[in-house]
Amino acid sequence: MGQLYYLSDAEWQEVIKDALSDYNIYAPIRDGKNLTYQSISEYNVASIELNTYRPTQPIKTFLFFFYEQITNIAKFPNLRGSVLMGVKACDLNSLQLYDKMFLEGEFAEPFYKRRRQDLLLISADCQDPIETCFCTTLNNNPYPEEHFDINISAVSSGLIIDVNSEKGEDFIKAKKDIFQKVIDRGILMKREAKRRAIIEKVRQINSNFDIKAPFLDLLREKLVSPVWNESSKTCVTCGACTQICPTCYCFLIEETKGKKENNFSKSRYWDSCQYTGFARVAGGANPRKKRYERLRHRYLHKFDYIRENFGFDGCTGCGRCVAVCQGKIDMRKVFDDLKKAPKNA
Amino acid sequence: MLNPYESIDAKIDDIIVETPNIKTFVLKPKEKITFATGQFIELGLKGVGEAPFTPSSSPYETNQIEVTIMKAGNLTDKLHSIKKSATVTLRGPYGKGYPVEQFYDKDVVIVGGGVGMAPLRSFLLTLLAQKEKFKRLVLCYGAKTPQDIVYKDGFEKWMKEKKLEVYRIVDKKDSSWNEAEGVVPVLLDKFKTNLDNSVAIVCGPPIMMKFTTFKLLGLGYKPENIYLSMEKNMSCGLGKCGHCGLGKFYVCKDGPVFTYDQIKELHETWA
Repeated sequence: MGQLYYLSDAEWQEVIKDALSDYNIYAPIRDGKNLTYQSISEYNVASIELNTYRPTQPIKTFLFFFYEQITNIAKFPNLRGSVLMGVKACDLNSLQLYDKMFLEGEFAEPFYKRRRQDLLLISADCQDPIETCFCTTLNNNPYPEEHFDINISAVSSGLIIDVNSEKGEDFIKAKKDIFQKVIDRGILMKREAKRRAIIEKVRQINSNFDIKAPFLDLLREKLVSPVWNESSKTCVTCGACTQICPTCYCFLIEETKGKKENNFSKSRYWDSCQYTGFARVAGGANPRKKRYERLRHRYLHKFDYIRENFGFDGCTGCGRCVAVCQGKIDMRKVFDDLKKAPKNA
Repeated sequence: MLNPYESIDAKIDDIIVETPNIKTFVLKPKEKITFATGQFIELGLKGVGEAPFTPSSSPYETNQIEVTIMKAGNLTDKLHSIKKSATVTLRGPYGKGYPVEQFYDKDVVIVGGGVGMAPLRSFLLTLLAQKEKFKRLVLCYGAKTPQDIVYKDGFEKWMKEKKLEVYRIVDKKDSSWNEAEGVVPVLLDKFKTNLDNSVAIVCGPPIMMKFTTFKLLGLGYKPENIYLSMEKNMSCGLGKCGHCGLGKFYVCKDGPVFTYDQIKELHETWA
């Protein structure tokens, strides 16, 4: 937690309007049934929806592009002066894994590293969880606790603004005079009560599922179970669950020939472990030929391998994979079914 | 900021035809690449793509790298059709190689199958360059037919090498063959090593690795003394892209060489 301030909605909108001249701001705007991050200008600044649930795009779409040329580039593309606003805790929590994978180890992912340094993150407490939300099942909270530069919590008729980094301080600098430090304990207690209420709401949404992370032991006990085959029957291997997932990071490198001889470039694009050929090796051997093996692999990677390696789960409970699945596969139900199934049958 | 995706050019200095579907490419990289035996590189053809290969030459030979490649897919088909002096791309080396120093004063049994002899040749050359450091060196090798044996000149030399015992076998012999016929694990019955002080280094097709490992275990080798080169489709080589996942490991950074002890519990070890 950084420095806390209390502002009215109108004052915050002034801050944003003022920042539009210096920053590229992206924030959630209602788009039919969905909330999507859109570029903000004076025309849509009043339509920003902060006090809702997570937008459709995961934040990896800003930090780790779907398709991008990765060689023969003059310099690394940057996101200097870009702001992503209205980010929910389930997306911020995905940065824990992304930072581990792409900033640590022998090699850093240079594109992610650059954008991660640049992008300013303004988060907001989740105020309106939907049917697919299950962050509490993963022992996560629906309000931001780390990885943000500024967090916004709507309380009573105003906003608690939590400025958590130097980048965040810089962002409010120009309007610093309207930022009043929070000294009223009552306001903080109201925020706490509201946060408790949202946790309770997410729990209520998930009251039909008798599951709670970590799932490592469950997965090991039920590695061989008819549940896997049963659950994957409606899978059409479209890969949408991995593309929309804020923590899925697997990718493939491809090469493109240029016009001149010897001129070529490499590009990287998101791949999916749900595709048939993902693990296939030269000569054709494939350790995950069957759909159920690939579905199971996704769960094993997130809740066994990542937990083994890093001590946390590769899932934030954002529920996008549930919302997007054409086969109506619900991760919560899969775990619930596994829990009820006999051991390694 | 360094860009780990960029490769360097390497000129093909020579192409040695090993078998009807295996060639060894002698490469002269534009910049020096040093590697530890068992580490792999990403070798590519511009605009076609890259694939992981473990060099088959000795790491002590620093002005060129040799890579032995079997025709098995899109990239390798194209590699087999290119000519001397063409250019390929290289990046790496990646991963952990063979822990050679841990094998000092031991009986070292090398077991290869088919083109799996490629990394083992590099390993063998590394051992032979300091052969006095090892108690005993044994090489077992199997191929489908006598024509499918790689490094024919190499074997001729190795069979004359006093420090090295060589056993060979083919699945199907012909009139030219007066050595054994059968599968690779059979060779392990032809000699005895001091099991308290032996390591076995295995590389070959998955099925051969599986049955060789089981045979070694049956003979009394400890899982931690059996070293396996795991074949996966490493795409990035950097421990990120997810393609070479083997349980909690990424073969590109945690391998490609594993002890059987490390991977024996994983459900995809032999898949």
